[in-house]
Amino acid sequence: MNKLPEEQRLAVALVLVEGMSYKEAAGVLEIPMGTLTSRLARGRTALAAELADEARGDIA
Amino acid sequence: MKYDDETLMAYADGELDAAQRAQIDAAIAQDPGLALRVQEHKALRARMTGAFSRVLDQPIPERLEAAARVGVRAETPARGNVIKFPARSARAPSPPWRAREWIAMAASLLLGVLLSWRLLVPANSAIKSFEELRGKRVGVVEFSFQDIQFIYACKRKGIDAFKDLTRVNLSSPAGVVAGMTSARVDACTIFEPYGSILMIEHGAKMISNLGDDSFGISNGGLYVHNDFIRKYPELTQDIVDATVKATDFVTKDKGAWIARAQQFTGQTEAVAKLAIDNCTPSLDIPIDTIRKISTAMYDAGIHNRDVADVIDKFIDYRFLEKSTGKTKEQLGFKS
Repeated sequence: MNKLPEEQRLAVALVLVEGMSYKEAAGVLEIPMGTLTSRLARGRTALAAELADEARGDIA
Repeated sequence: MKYDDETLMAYADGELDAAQRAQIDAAIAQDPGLALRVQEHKALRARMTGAFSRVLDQPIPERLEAAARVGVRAETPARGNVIKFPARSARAPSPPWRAREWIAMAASLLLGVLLSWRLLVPANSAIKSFEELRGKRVGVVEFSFQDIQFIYACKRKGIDAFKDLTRVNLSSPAGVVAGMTSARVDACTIFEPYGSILMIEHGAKMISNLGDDSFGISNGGLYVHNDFIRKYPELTQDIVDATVKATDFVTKDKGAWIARAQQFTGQTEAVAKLAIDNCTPSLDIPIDTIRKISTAMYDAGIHNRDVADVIDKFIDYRFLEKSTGKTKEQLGFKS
């Protein structure tokens, strides 16, 4: 998660780790909901790719 | 109908309204590929949550498990010896302590993780003391323990934390980190390891460790119903013994503790080391400190009654006495 850009990392941390709703997270970060959802989506996609790479590394 | 990833993520996060949810439920039933994509989003969410709650998944002693199976869940919980305090004023908080924080605290006690607190300013800040916080914006988790410490420390320095500065409620430690790194606040109060993360990764500077400027060394507590103690005295003793053992572990071998913190949380060694160096492992229950905290919470409008004069009746030193071999006076009790 530390490899994500700061803005994506914070969106992921607040929603997926802290369990905040999108509305709460957008409020904390003071950004519109649309910005929050797009940062969250990009962060998630990057994270999923990273974890998939790790899994491949484990198998290798 | 095709659904983009953002919509499916929102579905996995429970963010869609009933109509949208029903549409996707129906679509999933027809389309295994769509079901798989949703499952992947749910799995990532569960993995992220799980990554930070693995400490709660440690093996549970057999006696703990047995008690949970046969006793605790089968009965309606007793009211217990708990004082309820209605809000005193309109300024009083919404929910001051969230369930997750209590759970974290309970886990901390069992595993010997000790918390401590800091008042920080960003790397480029000119603020060097409490006095210079007048007129500034301070990021807090409202009415968390570090917020109560901060309010009390301000008072000791002649500053009204409700009038002379603006406390910005950032809701969670991650929110406080975000507030500091995005320069929305001029300072913040925060607990470990978030304080050390801000110092090491973002160059934040410490104005106070908050303990020294407020109540002195503070400690967590283990809260149970009187009913629980009556029914499960051995189990209660086991929990206290485990806390004592974990605290001894931290005290004697900081290196091992740092390695364990890295293993469970993914912190860097530097963050884990700085965080533990800011902690003072202690088993004491210093009653004078608890009385001061009670009065400070009353002064801040969090409780409608100062319970400093009766709080000792709600603290049971017997288990700690047995586990440590010390008297309650040696553990911090004073009449």
